[in-house]
Amino acid sequence: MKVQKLALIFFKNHSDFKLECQEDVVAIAGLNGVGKTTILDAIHYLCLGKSYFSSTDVQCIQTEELQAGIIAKLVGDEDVSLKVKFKRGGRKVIEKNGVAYKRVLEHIGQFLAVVIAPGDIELVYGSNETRRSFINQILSQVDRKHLLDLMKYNKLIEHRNKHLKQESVDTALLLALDEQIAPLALSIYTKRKEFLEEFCPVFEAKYHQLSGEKESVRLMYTSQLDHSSYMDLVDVNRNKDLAIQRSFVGIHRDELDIEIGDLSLRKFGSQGQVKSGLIALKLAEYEYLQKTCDKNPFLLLDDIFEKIDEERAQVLTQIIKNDNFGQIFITDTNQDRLNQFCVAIGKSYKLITLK
Amino acid sequence: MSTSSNLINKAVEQLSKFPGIGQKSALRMALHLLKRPEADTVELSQAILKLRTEIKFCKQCFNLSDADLCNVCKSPSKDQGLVCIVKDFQDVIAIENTGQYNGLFHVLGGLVSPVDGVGPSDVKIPELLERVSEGTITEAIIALSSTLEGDTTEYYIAKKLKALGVKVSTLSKGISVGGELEYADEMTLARSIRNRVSLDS
Repeated sequence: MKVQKLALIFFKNHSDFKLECQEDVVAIAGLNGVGKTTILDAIHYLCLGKSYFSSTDVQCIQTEELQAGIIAKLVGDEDVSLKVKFKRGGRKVIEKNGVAYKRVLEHIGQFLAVVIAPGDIELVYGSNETRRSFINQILSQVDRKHLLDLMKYNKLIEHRNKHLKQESVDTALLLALDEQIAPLALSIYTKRKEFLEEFCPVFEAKYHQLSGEKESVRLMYTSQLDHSSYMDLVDVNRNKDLAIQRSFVGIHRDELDIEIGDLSLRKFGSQGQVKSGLIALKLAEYEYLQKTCDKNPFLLLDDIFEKIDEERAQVLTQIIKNDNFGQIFITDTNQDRLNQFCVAIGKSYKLITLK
Repeated sequence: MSTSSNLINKAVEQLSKFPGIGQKSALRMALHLLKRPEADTVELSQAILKLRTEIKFCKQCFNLSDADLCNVCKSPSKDQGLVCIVKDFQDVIAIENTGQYNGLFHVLGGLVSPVDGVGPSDVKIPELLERVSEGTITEAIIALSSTLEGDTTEYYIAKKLKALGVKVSTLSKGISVGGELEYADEMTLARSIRNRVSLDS
């Protein structure tokens, strides 16, 4: 599946941007702030119904405007037209071939995208929440039930936390919430475990390929549910919950850490290991989605040469050249470097320069 | 909307507060009243006033009523041991209209929703428990919406009622009668498969 036409209206720093492309690689050059990343983000938006770089829809609407939109024509086995519209204070609407989805989540999983961007460094140094959302995002695209479970789980925990902040806490009400939370927690936990068993070997292989090293690499998963059931855990920790007025147990407290050679990458990793680790993580995400869904995600590479060294850039270029990837969008401030990349990949490409 | 008469404007403003009534419909209603004999309007306004000032809530089930006890609670033909727990008055009407239910009701007046600050004592749950502990009621049917708030309320009530030794059930959930399978959403369909009904009898 390829993007053939793309139009952005009042989306971030583009008031009215149009792009036509058929090529395997679309390379976007230009100075900082001209809106290169915005184009990648628009493609992410079309696939996942949300921005990769901004946390809310409103942040993606130009300051003076009331609404923004992204329109695209995709070609592949069948031609598809996609449209995303969102307003300030309004509901987001996604249309496929002119028909709007009732709920945005019905769209998720049909079109896939993987972003590699400088901000990914948060995956290593950020909180567990960042790494949890990384795997949530992957799983939500391949498993609708998991997405629904997660949404319901979060809503129930929100109810629970709110009630814990009341002056008088009704333990029977907590129990009523917990009985609904328990099966969801178990199913999310099981799914995460299964996923990581499949994902970690891919991650390791990608890391070896990128770094040339043979160290063992994994995403280490620890959950309170490892040793106990949710109901037992809340029972034991009831007083703690009441004291801190928050839900102390559950899969929202799961820990994920990237480990290289049994050491935490966050704490002990060298700059080089961190760089290789991040790209390996993203390439593993790509391969996992590709295999599980049996289709090629879009690969969106944002300013990657700025952050990685020459040697790794060469290896990555080789991997992209040799392996099977879908349409690739890449940005860089350096037009010559971008051109070299496109030539090295050896696929059809279009190089545009934004001003 | 502004007309030549401030009296009409005032009436339109009030009428357009009704659900589903916009300014244009409100104007039509106001003009309709003016075309009809004056006595009609007097009768209507008296009915509305009486409705608002004289309506009572049944002391037992909190349904709408003209007296201390509503018609359902007063009816000798109703099964006094069976209670159906609903959220609103409309739900009582809907269940009564099925003709399949011959018990009493209990109107909660809302659902437990901690996020919105609504706890069990903010709806008529304490009253329900008190009513059940009096001993006449032996079976309860919980008929609440299949939403997160509905489920939370259901779990809460079920737990409390079981502790009182009452038989508790809930409405079955699944494909609507006369509904096309292909139009059922996946969650409903999944639930229908899980709770499928055996045809062996």
